[in-house]
Order: sequence, then structure tokens, then C-alpha cells
Amino acid sequence: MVSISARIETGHRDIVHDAQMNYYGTRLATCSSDHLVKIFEVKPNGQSYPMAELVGHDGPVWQINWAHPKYDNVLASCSHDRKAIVWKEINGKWQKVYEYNQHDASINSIAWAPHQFGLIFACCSTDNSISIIEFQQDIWKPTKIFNAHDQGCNAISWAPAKTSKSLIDPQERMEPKRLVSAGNDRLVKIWKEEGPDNWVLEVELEGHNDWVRDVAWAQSESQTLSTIASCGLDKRVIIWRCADLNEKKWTSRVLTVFDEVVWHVSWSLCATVLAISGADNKVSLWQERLPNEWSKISDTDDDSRYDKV
Amino acid sequence: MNVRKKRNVVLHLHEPIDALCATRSHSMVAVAGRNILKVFGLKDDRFEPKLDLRKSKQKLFFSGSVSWSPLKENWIASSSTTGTVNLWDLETQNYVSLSHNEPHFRSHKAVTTKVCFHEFNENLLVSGSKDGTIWLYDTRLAEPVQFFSASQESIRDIQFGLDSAMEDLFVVADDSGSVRFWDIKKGDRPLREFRASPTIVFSVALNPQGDSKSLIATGGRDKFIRVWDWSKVNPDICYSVETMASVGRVVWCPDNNWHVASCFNMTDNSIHIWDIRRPYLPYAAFNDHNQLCTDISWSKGSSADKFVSCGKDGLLVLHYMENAHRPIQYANNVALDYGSTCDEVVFAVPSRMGFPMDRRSNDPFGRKQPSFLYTANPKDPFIATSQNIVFLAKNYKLLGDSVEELCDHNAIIAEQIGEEHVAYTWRMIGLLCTQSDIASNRPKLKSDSHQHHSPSADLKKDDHRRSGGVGQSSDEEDRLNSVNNELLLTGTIPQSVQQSLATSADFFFGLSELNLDGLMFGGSNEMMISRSCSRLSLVSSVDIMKLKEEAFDSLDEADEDSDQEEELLDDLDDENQESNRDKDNEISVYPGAGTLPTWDSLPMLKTALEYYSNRGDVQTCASICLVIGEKITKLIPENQVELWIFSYLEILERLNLWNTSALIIKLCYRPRINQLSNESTFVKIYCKKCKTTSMSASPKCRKCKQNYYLCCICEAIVKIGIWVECPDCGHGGHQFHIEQWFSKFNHCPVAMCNCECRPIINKGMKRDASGSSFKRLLV
Repeated sequence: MVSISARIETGHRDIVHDAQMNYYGTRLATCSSDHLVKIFEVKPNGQSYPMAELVGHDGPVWQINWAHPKYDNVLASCSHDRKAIVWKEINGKWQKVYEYNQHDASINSIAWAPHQFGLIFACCSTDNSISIIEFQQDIWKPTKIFNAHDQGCNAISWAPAKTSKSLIDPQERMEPKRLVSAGNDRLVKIWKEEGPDNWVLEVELEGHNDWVRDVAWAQSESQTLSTIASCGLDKRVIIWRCADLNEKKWTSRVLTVFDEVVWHVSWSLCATVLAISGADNKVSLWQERLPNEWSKISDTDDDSRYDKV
Repeated sequence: MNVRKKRNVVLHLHEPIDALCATRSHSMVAVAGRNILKVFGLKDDRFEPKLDLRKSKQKLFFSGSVSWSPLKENWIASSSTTGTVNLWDLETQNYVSLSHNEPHFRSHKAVTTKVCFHEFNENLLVSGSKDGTIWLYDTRLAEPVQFFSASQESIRDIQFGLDSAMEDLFVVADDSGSVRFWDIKKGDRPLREFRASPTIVFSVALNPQGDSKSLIATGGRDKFIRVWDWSKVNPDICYSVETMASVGRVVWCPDNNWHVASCFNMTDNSIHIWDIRRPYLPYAAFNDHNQLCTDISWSKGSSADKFVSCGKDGLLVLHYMENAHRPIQYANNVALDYGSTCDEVVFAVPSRMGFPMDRRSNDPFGRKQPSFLYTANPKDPFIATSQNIVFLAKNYKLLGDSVEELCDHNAIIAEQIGEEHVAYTWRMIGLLCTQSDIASNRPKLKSDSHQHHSPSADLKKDDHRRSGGVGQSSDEEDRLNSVNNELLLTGTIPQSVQQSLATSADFFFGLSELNLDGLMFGGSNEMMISRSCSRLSLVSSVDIMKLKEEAFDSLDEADEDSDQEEELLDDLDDENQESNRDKDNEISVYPGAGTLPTWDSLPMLKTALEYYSNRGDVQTCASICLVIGEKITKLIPENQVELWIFSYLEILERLNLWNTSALIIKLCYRPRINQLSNESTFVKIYCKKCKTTSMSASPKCRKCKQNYYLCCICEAIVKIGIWVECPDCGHGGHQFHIEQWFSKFNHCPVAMCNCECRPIINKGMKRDASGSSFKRLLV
């Protein structure tokens, strides 16, 4: 069961493509086809108030992402207009602090790296490339992975920051940064940073037989297993698992085959629940009750319930 | 059946192309630029070079517009920089041959910007110029036949009526943003006039479709394509499309009433096709050009699935609709986010959701599709609600009593919210721990447990001080933060900091290094602090001063009743004994806990933890690890334990449970977690004289060179020891001098300062509750 707790009037004039809660769950950012990014304050009682309207994109805004609060209130957005914009709240006013425009086509996805790595975001575009932009000494420094996916790259997600201890080196070290990307070449690819600004392809995961729409790396630091969920036009959701990233042995498991194209996957905070949405406009939640046994725990059915709210 | 895709045809002409026009049948296309004027035959898969109208290095004076006579296939008109209109005869391939001078119309005083043929009369054409004038020509006559002018603004676009009912009409757009309709017979004033844009209108397009012929699209610098119904006297906007950049050209797609193609004359090289009913998301996009696209021409009739475009990059491209990039394929219809806490999902669905069957047949571009945004809570016994997490986090006891007592307590807490399974686990762990020595090495901070039991008391105290102090900030978060700080600071400074402080010499306390050993920070020596502090024998006339209002709350308490101190000493002895006992019989069990621990119960504990870890219940994992203590790392890799605690801390932070989070950081036996309390903790020194703050450890203000710590009584620098100051006027000095002074006086020792530094304390009033007390700083 899912109980609808509130309906928020966004005032967007067209489809809302993405909605993201901030770290504390106190603010909600939305972005829409109407070129706008909006920020709402959400009270614990479910009421929400519009806070800001961010104007700067010239096309439908596909995705938004909040940075970790240790970098203050920072939001990144990406759009069909080939721009990625970083917004920051300075003295209560939202301002554009950085605009990245080195892609030749629509930027489809944007994601902040785990905060332990610093203020870094990655975005990927229909022009096949992925950009990783790091904020260092007051400068945004981009690195690009060219030809990451043939025919365009649709989604991107960061691996959680983990530390590792090797037998030789007792000093604890951060695992290198890793990214997972999904593209129209039906592949899910894992990228690893080897040395500064040098990203190499680590693994190619084959399993989808149509465009891969979305990919999400479970942001759970507490689990030793690495888990990735991906979904695509082939109506499948695949869970990829790996015990040791360095061994590069990934197992795949098709969660289920849906009746409709699957658009979006999203993990819960502890990576125990997976939310999936598809072209039928349904949202379903899945949980792994037993190892590798996924069961649907709730479903927002498309009945008239929404209208009653 | 696999139909072979028609591929876009690209021809590189190596010269920037400014304009193109096609014959009505779309069998030939003329392209024109500064150095180029060529005619190509249009085939499905190629461009056939037909004519090159530019002879040798002849100057074309071309200025941006070319028009093909819709009726006479061998006539092309082109605009020129000299203000003339050149009429080309393709049969002779020369504009000169038609007649020597006559086709040269020189009427404009400035550059001709646009030429356009009459759709139904082969002899008529109009031209517009930068000077705002429009001339109508008859090709049979040497002189222009009609003159139109309504403004001084440069003409940008002209189009003749496409329908026989309005054949003598033409529409003009100019730099002022106005759109005017003229009748070729009436040169005195326009038939209709409206303002289409606040800035330049670059392009106008009349809808060619019979049933919506009263629609006109305009595109301009304001990045909008607007569609107007011009049949009304005051045309109003029917649709408006918000584009990415300044619109250079607008063209209606002949096969669809709603589709408009556009290209930009700034920043963006792509061609977009819009459905005017869905004004934000392009219906299709083509990205074949490397530089700005300058002109578009659609095929008409049966082959309306293709169009020709040209660009500044010299490319002439034949596009097929099937090769379009469709942004809607990338548009995520349902926004979805699993909220920051464990039990909230945010999702937005299109407002017309609910009828998947309908949806398929419906055109997604039929209209705008605003979304409904919902927040929802999944209700499932396997998903912890944030309410429960908050309750457990606030009420779990993680330290203080014996393991069994803690486990019992936590089991009861878990039971209260119906977490039977967790409660059972706690009970089991309580039992298992009595069976084994796993929990024998627990951190023992008695004085901390006191705080843990009464966090609310802390809050009240804090409130009280705040309200008596600066302001009445009732902001909850603020208050929590301050409590957080306090908790962090009152805690023992862990071993690691002590080390780092001792090794890093750039942190300087006053004139001498902070003598850590002397001050007894760290380890389990907190009671030592209170003891050593109480031995400072502060005279009762001076209130117990707070160390920068932060630490030593425990000190106050310890000083208040020395009984407690004795207790603490006893405790310490007890502990020593206890730990000695532990050392003596490492493997054995506590006396009285049974004599036959024949089976190893620890794997069960491990299984339990793994179970909760897999379920994602890091709260239970972390809490168990904290209760059991450091020896859990013999069972579970320390990495894993840290990860659980880190994850739990993150959840606590997200839920704004700063108290609990700070407490765990303080109590945790893992140094990496303990260190968190030192992150972004720093001291700033405030100069009272010049009101600047400084991070430097120098005892002198960097700006005014004033020494911070000058005793106002002996006028010497307070070198080592304790600096005492009045929080109101800021005057202070050696502790001894200040105490002496205030044993006699109540007012400030500094002349001219009227501060009543020592308020008269009512009898019976508790010392530390007084409003004004002296601040004490380690120097």
C-alpha cells in the first residue's frame, strides 16, 4: 500500500520530468518541460510553499540533483538546451553559479558525486559523451569521456564512496571514483577513474535488448555488495550485483518484465527498496525480502484515487 | 517488413549559404550566399548540380534573400546589397540576358533584405529594404509600381498570401516587432497591423492549410514563436512556443496543421519542429548543421516528409522526418524520487494519467501535460517509517548500564512501537552477551551517561541561557545546532585529537602551548578534569565561569557537590578493578552467569547483525554494535561496523536528530567516527578594539596590534593560566586580580567603564543560574 500524503501544486505548465528531495527532506526541487526549475519548502505536515523559480534554461529541463548539504544549498540541473547549470542559494537568493555548455546535444542526466570526493558532478548527453566536472580552487574543471555510448547516453549514476583496506597497505584508502552509465547502445557501462582526469571503461554489462533508459547505483555504504538497477525500452528491470568491484564479476538478474516501457528506477536511502516507474505512469516499489528474491510491495495504481486527494 | 531508411542527404558547398528557395514542385532548389548562387535538382537521394549562376569571380552583391517564381520555373529573384533586385533567367543562366538594364530595379536607398514573388501573378514581386521601404514591381515594367512604408525599421520578412482569397495580400515583419498586412493596391496604409514581439521579428509564415489559413506564425529575437489568428481586427496569440534561442526562420510544415519548423540565428545550430499545442518540448529536432542554419524549405504535397535546409557551414541538407531526433523519447513522464528519509516517495505523473489505453492512441503533443506532484508513504511492515526511527533513536540507551540492562531497556523501547522482532533481538543479545566476554570491553564514561539520560534537561538549560542572553531565537534548528555544538564540545576530546593537537604546532593557545597533560583532556579522564578544576579553588565571590560558554558544564556540576566527585573517584576505582579482572581471566565468563558455556553463541549474534544489515536496518545494526562495544570488531570486520555507524549517522542527520548523532559520535569507540566531531571545529578570536575576527593563534590582533589579553588591573599580559572577563563590557584580567577586585567592588575595574560587572546575587539563588557570569578563557 502506498498512502498519498500530499499533493503539491507545482504550477509547472507542462510535464514535470524530475522531482528531488534535498538531504533533509525539507525542500523539493522540480523541473519541467516548461524550462523552469522550481524549489518548494516542504513542512513536516506535508504542506509546501514555493520558494524559488530558477530561470536560465532554454529547453525542457530533464533532471535535477541536490548536492550534499556540506556544500550549502547547491542544485544542478540539465536540459535539452545542452546546458548544465549549477545553482546556489546565496543569502537566500538562488543564483546561477556555473553553466556548462560543452555538449553538442541534449544533456539527459546529471548527478553529484558522493560528497566524500568533493564537489563534483557528472552529466551525460545525447552526443555520446559524459562529462565530469570538478570544483577545485574556485574553478570548475571539466573532464570528458568521449564516445561513451553509441547513439547517446541516457543516464548516469555514481558509485557510493567506499573505503578499502588492502593487506599490503594497512592504510585505509578511498576506492577510486566509479560511474555507471546507460545508453542507446543497449549497454550499461561502468567507468573508473584511474589517475587524475583519466576515466577508463571498467565493465560493459550486456543484458538489455533495447535502449537503456535509466540506471541507478544503490547508494548504500553499509552493504558490501555493489548493486545497480537498470531499466529500458525492453520493459525490463535488471539488478546487477557484484561482490568485489575489482574482480569485475557482475551477475545480472531480471527483476521482472513489465507491460510497458520502464523509464525510471530509484533506490531508497538504505538501498533496500527500489522504486520503478514506467510509461504506464505507475510507480511500484520492490523490496528484496530474501536474497535475490524481489517482491512488489506496493503499487500506485492508476485508479481515480489521485483525484480524491 | 524492413523498409530501408531514407538517409539525410548532405552536400558540402564550402561557402556560407544565407538563403535557399525551391520551386513549387520541389524539384529544384536554389541556394544563395555572398559568393554563391547555384541551382540543384532535388532527388530523393542526392542533389544534382544544375546551374552555377555566378560567372567567374563576378560580384553578386547578394544580401540574404532569394525567391523562386512560383509560376515561372525559370525565374529567380535575389536581393542585393546595392538596394536592387536581381531577376535571373535560368534558361539563359544570366540576369543580364533578360534585358540589359531593365531587371535591375534600384529603388531602395539601402540594402534589399527580402524579395518575394506573388503567388498567383507571375509578373509581380515585392522587395523590402533596410530603410523600411517596400516596393512592388512588375517585371514587365522598368519602374516599381507601388510603394509601401509605415516605419523606418528594417524589413525582415515578407510573404505573399498563399490563398486565392488573399492573393493580393502580403505580410511584412520588421525590426520594431510589428507585423503588417498590406494590399498591393493600397499603398497608403496597412490593412492590419499588430505588435508581435517587443523586439525584432525575423520571420513570418502564413499557414498554408486551407482550414487554418488565418493563422500566422512569427519568430523573433525574444526566442518565441507565436501563432496569431489574424482574421480578427486585433489579432491575439493562439499559441506561443518558447524556444532555445533567437528564432531566425519559421516555416509551417505543410502536412500538419500544428507543426512549425524553426531554425535559430544565434547560438543554436539545430532545426526544431514544434507542435504549437505543446510549446516547450520540440516535436522533432535535426542536428545536421555544424553552424547556424539559415533557411528551411519544405516539400509540399505527397512528399511532405522531407525538407531542405542550408547553413553558414556551407551544407545543403535534405532531411527526412524519419531521421529526426525526438526529444519526447528522452522525456521522463513520471518524476520519481525516493525521499531522503526511509519512507517517503515523491512522484509526479502527467495530469491525464489513468487511461493507458487512451494514452496510446492520444497524441502526446495534443496539449500541454502539466503533472500532478504527490508525496506518498509506502505502508509496509518491512519498511521502517521515519517516525519509528526517530522514536528509537531518541529512546535507545546505548551506554551507561550493563549490557543486559541496556538490551532490556532497548527491547522495551522497541516493543512500544510494535517492533516485536527487534525487541526479541535485543533480548537475545542481552542473553548472549552474558554468556560471552564480547561486551566486556565497553567504553565506560559514567559522566556521559548522565547527559544521555536527560537530553531534555540539556535543552532546557540551553534555552534558559539563550533567552537570558542575546536573543530569543526560537528557531528549532538553530537551537538543536547549538545543543549539538555543546554536546560535541563538552565531550571528551578523543585520543586522536589530543595527538593531533600535540603534534601540530600551528595551533597556539596563548603564550604557551596548551599543556594537554596538565589539563587532563582525553581518554577516560574526564573526572580528572573536574577534579583538577575543582582544585583550582575558585573563590566563591566569582561565579564559576564558563570556558567560552561551551565546555565544562560537567565541571559546574562536579564543583557543586563534591559528594559526586567522591562517587566518581569510587567509580574509577571500581572500573580499574573491573578491568583488571577482565584482564586476568580473558576467556572466562562472569561469575554467576552459568558455568557451562559449551556452545559458541557468537555466530548467532553475527547472523542477527547480518540479517538486519541485509534488511537495510542500519539503526539496529549500529545500535547493537554500540551497545556491545569494541569487541564486536572481533566478530564483524571493523570496516563493516564503521559503515553501519556512518550510515546510521547519515540517517540521523537527515532526520535532524543532531543530539543523538552527536552523542554517537562522542561515544563511539572507532576513532574514525570519533574524529567526526573535530571536523569543521575551529576557534576564532575576536578583537574587542577593532572588532575583527582572526583565525591566527597569535595573542596580538593582526590589525590593531593590540594584545588581546591585557590584565586591566596590573596591565601586564596574561601569559599562562586563566583569563577572566566580564561578558558585558569585555574587561578582564588575571583570575587572581579579578577575584580580588570583585571581593571588594561590584563595578568594573576599568575607569570610565560604568559596567556593573558583578550583579548582586540574591541569596538562595543558584550561582550558575545567574544572568551574568564571568567568562573564563584558557590562555
